[in-house]
Amino acid sequence: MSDEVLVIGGGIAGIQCSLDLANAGAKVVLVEKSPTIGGKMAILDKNFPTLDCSICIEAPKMSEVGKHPNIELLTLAEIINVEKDGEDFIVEIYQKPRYVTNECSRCGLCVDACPVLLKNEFDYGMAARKAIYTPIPQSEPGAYVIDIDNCLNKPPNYLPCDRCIQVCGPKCIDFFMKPKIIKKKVKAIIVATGFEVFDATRIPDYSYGLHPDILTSMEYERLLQSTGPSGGEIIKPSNGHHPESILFILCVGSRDPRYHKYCSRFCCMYTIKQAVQTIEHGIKNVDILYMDIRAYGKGFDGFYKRAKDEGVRFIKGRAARVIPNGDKLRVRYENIMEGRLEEKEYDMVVLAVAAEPPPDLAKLAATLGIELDEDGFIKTRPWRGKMIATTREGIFVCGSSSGPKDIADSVTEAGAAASAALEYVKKKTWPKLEFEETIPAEGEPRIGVFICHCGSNIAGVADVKWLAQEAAKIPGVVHSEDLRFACAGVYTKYIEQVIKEKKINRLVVAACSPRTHLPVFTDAAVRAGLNPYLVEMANIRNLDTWVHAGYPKEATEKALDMIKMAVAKAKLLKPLYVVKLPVTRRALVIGGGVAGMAAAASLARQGFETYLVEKENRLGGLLRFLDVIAPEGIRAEDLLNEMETEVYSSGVKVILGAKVESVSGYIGNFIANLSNGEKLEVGAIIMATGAKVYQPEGIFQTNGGGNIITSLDLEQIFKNNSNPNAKNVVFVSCVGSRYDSKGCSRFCCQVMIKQAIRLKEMGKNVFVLYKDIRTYSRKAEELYEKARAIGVRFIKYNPEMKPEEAIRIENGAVYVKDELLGEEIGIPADLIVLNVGLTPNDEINPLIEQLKLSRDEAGFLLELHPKLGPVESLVGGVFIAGTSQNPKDVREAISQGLAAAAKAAALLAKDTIDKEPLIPRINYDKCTYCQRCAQVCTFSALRGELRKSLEVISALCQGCGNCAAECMVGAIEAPGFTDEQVIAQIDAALEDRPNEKAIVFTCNWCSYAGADQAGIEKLQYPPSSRVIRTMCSARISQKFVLRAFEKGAAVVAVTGCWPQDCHYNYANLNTERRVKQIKKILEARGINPERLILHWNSAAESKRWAAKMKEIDELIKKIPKEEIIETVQKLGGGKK
Amino acid sequence: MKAKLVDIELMERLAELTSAAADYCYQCGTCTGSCPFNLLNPSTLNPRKIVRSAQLGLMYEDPSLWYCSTCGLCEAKCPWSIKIPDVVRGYRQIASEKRKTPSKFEEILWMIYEDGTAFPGSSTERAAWTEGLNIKDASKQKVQVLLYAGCAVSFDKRLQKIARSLSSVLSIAGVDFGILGREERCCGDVVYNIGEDAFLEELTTENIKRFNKSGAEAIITISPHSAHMFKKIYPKYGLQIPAFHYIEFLNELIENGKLKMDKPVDGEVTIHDPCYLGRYLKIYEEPRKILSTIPGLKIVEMNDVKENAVCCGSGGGRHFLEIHGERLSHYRVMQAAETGASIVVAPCPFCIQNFEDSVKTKRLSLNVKDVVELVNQSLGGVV
Repeated sequence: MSDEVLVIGGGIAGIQCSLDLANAGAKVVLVEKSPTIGGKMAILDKNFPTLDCSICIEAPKMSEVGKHPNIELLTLAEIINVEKDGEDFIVEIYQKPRYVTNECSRCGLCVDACPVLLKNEFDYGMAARKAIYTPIPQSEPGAYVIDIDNCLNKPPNYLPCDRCIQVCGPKCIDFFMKPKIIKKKVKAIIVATGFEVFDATRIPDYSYGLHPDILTSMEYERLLQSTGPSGGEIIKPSNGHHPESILFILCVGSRDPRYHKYCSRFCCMYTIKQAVQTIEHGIKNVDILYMDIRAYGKGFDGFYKRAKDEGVRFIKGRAARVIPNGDKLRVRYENIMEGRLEEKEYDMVVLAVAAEPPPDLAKLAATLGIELDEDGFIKTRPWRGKMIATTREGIFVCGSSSGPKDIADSVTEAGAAASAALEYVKKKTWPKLEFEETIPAEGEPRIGVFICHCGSNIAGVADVKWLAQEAAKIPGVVHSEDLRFACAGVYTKYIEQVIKEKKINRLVVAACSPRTHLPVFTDAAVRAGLNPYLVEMANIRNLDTWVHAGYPKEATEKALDMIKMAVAKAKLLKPLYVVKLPVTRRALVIGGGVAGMAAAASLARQGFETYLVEKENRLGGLLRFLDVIAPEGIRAEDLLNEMETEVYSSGVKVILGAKVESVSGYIGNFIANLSNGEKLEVGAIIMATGAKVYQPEGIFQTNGGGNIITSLDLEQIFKNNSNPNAKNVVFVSCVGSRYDSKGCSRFCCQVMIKQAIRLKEMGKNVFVLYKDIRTYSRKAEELYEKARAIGVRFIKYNPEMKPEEAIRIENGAVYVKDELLGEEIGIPADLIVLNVGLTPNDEINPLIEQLKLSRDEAGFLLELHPKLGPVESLVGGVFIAGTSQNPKDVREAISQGLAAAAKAAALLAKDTIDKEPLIPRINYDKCTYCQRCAQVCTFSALRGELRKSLEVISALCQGCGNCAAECMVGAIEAPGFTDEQVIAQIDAALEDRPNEKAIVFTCNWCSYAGADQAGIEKLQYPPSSRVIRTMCSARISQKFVLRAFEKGAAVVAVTGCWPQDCHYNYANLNTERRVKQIKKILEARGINPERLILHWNSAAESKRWAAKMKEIDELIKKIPKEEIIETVQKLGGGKK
Repeated sequence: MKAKLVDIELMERLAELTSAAADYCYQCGTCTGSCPFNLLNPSTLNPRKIVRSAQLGLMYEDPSLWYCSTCGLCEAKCPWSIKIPDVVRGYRQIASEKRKTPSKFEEILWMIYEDGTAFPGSSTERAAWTEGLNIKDASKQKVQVLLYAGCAVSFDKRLQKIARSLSSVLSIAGVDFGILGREERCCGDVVYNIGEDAFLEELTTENIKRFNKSGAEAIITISPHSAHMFKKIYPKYGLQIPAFHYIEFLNELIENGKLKMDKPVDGEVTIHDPCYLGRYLKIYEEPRKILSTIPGLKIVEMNDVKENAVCCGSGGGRHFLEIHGERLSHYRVMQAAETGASIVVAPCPFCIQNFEDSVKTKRLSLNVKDVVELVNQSLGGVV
């Protein structure tokens, strides 16, 4: 038995926390009070700023929880008692009966039979459900549930109705299920109970509830959702018509002392997202009424700009009243930037309602013996900056339970809480997955094809029924079927069942991206007894229906091509076996700031040998230059001392005054060479390399008077306990932030306000020039309130301008147009404080290059996923924490450090890691030992002697397939991407009307991801491309390109990462070389070399991808049919 | 355009005059969006900018400073409950110090100084409304309750009926009351709202002397403006006698069984909440309670009642200034008429005067009454 951890709440924070714990070897009990996990994220349509489909990225995590051998999921359950017994908590859990057993196949017949019609809570009452129902298609657990309070059989009634029982095929309805009390002994508890939304009827002036077209943001989110009550159509609930004008009102119940003083943090961004979606639905008049736009996170300001560019009108002001007026809603407010009253009529009004503590949180807190803060959220202990520590030892909190938080911040805290809890878990286990390969891969291929509707994402464009029929006709296909949500737990179970029943030995799923969903289906295959490498996906969503929404016929045809390609490849798939590689169970944390210290100490306390390398001679990073940390007012020195003690007492091997000069190796086995000559062998690396303070030298010219310093200088003055010699102080915000690609630096507003308060309390006149006040984080809005209360004056300058453009300093006064007054004012100033943000640390460039990390637009380290992978890099075994990822405050940096530690812990917890079986196989009968492959391998994984020998070093091989492309004699097989497989895909793609198509080869990491992203953003382009994915563009051999032309392709494109982004150490320079070479061959044979295109495209460059596809389509149209026929003949294709 | 310079001295002076009312403001503009004057005369009055100017220590010399009727709806709607009317008064006080008060107000101040009234009339005619009523003269004999009639009621024929009704009701209840008659002077509401503080001090001190001399144990007023002055402002200048609006007093008499309304008053009545009775003194339920005890009378509520009530347009000295643009009272009587009621009740002389005008202008068949008039009718009292 391993030590258990209790997680309360199954929203995204609880889900992520459970997974992090379970992956690191802890046993988890996850308790959720509703019938399914998923929480609020499952309700949302899309996430900001990436416009990811919310449930699409959450569903795989939900089903992972459902399947994880270390997680016990208890839904319909609540904690009723907690007692401490030595080191353990004894927890009593009350679980309500579901009345439906796990045998439920989700056929839905019971729902049709049930006579009780009720409002669907999930759709906020805008749609109906029955007394027996499933909350969402992706529910986990998948079994339906009976709402007994509304069922005709509600006790003491004795089965007056048995309609559902009658129709249930698997006989899984059981009205005799009893509630259970489950006792658990756990080492640590994590509260992740999330938030509830504010009741908008509390503001009578907004008339919510008096007119059906006044919606809350959550209700509107359901309207946007393709599986929501209106099928994704934006309609007026009053009459079903499309609205022509919509107003979004922010801060409804937030930033308002009559309701909630605090800022609800995420409303600005989701409202902008909703507005962008609204515009994309073709509604032209979209207004947002805001007080400050709090676009504080990575990419948020860019998204804000995009919304403006797309035509969303942002009006600074606060609605005074919403008055229903027949069909319309009359809204009265002051347009502050114009200084006048506006009274406008809208078709719909959406209220961005505050997030507030769930009503039963106080009861739970009492049961757990933890305190709440004054707003009713769970109180955290700001000492050590830990937002995840509650007032009771051993109990932690993550996500919105301790105050509103967006998904990314919740996920980060989930990891942090997991890391903290793991310190209590001594015994770890990994139950072996019961897996036996029972279905033989040999013999005739028996292919099963499943086509996912993905709600209406696919089925709304392509004719999935027809596709299923057509796929059934492909030779080798023995089963073909369309499914509503193929990735949902119940459907994967269904797929598993079909595989078993029909002895399917190759699985093809036509759905979304294999980058996100392949594991879901390989798991299903494995459970069915099939080798996981016998699964192939056709990405008919991201690469097809999402990007050709206006062309249902063409999109359907393309989908069929893609299915044919997948089937063709599937036929040739061979079973492969994961390679086990040893893990060096040591961690290296680079950078000794708060994030690095937190990460290192946590890892050391979890029992891992941990190195912390800091280039300075003392730990602390930027913290050493700070005086008091906003908003809680903790002394930086106290925090530093505390954390230093923690680092040293936990046994971290601290190496000061040394830099990591170079790093080599890969996940599980890295070698770091330090500047002091030390060589560290580690399995995981955490990049806590920090950021640099922006240096605003010379941006302001003064002609005498007005001493200019930075906020960091002022911090130093405070630290020295001195009093700046000035009577009138002016702060200038956003210096070095919020322009061009530079986003908001997050922490600066609260720092500036803290400093302003301090100076005001010293008796000075203090003026703050700002763009938007972004006090989004916990207790920061209260700091802003305090500053106003004591007389600090806030002046808004033009947010579109750089400070040095908007502000003039002259003769001891600062001149600026106050956007609130609408006039230029002059402010006496003896001291001007430039509030500086953070810029990326360029000292780590060599490391970034050696580790193949990527940077984002602003130059900070790029995370795996902005929402769900905030602390993972794109490179296995390398994690990112603190300001290396993006500017953030001390509390956030610590949380991220801990979260990175949890990820590293999961990697280091075992002796081995599984390595993908992509290592090439040499056919020694064919090999001529020419060593060309060894020469091009960028990892030195192939070694040998000319004409004598050749061997593959598995540990070094990264599986790019570069060697296979280089081999002249076809002696190297690249598993998963063999010559035969790729050629089969090419042939299948070009079976029909090849002259209208382009074969587009992509690498897995950048160009395919960029194509995926174009899909996510719904960037439309013509449907002429047929994509073939390999791991690296360096896998694309001359053979493939010529084959495509031979089969009549109009155009061939080879795409991949920009060379500096290559995930295989510049392997793609070989791609470039090969493409040049092939062009020469084409030219020599009289074929227009322009028809072969080399294109670099990063994962983020979705627009670039769409533009290229458009360009290729135009090129195709220009090529005469005769030319293509001629090419085919020249290459000998016509004869065969 | 020349930049306005932040004047720290002015900033501090305004903070002092307004108890730093502007500090908490985060400039959301709810006030501007709620201002009824602004609603009817768009973008003429911007309370937010007045507060903004106070925050920055800038002079506010826009004529709209004098449009504000200090109705307090902005304050009621402000998330921070900022006393925006106090900021307006602060600026008016500074204007008066700089001799920048509109000339009409200068005239009014002189009238009050010389005649003790802001209305045309002389103190000798102050008690004219009592003709034939035989009311005690509190300047000459001791009374338990001092009835303060106020300037508008004393000199306006229509409003005099309210005073007569109240006298009748008080007599029926057996209350020992009297008036100051010729000795009664302006309560100073307009002086207070113009921001002429030096004169206000002189006026209140003199009035308090007279009140004290009467030996009264309580003061009741007909105007909510006077009630507000005596309850909230005069104590700062030393008034110790408790003051009430007559509605409060009547309500107590009814609760104590001193008044039995038994004659039916048939019809539907709608109730307007005067700003100074409602938002300033928080008296919302009492008029409803009183009217609900009158047999035959049915209360129908109009839009925007109690805290949301729309001003008649006369507070804050506005009564004496020429009205620019659309009248608030027109808007308000239309709201009253929409209910279908035959009577609109407005327990404030200013409101009644305005409503009478507006009902005529808008050709509505509405009777404008004060609460006490209906009470007296139900009691069978004579006027």
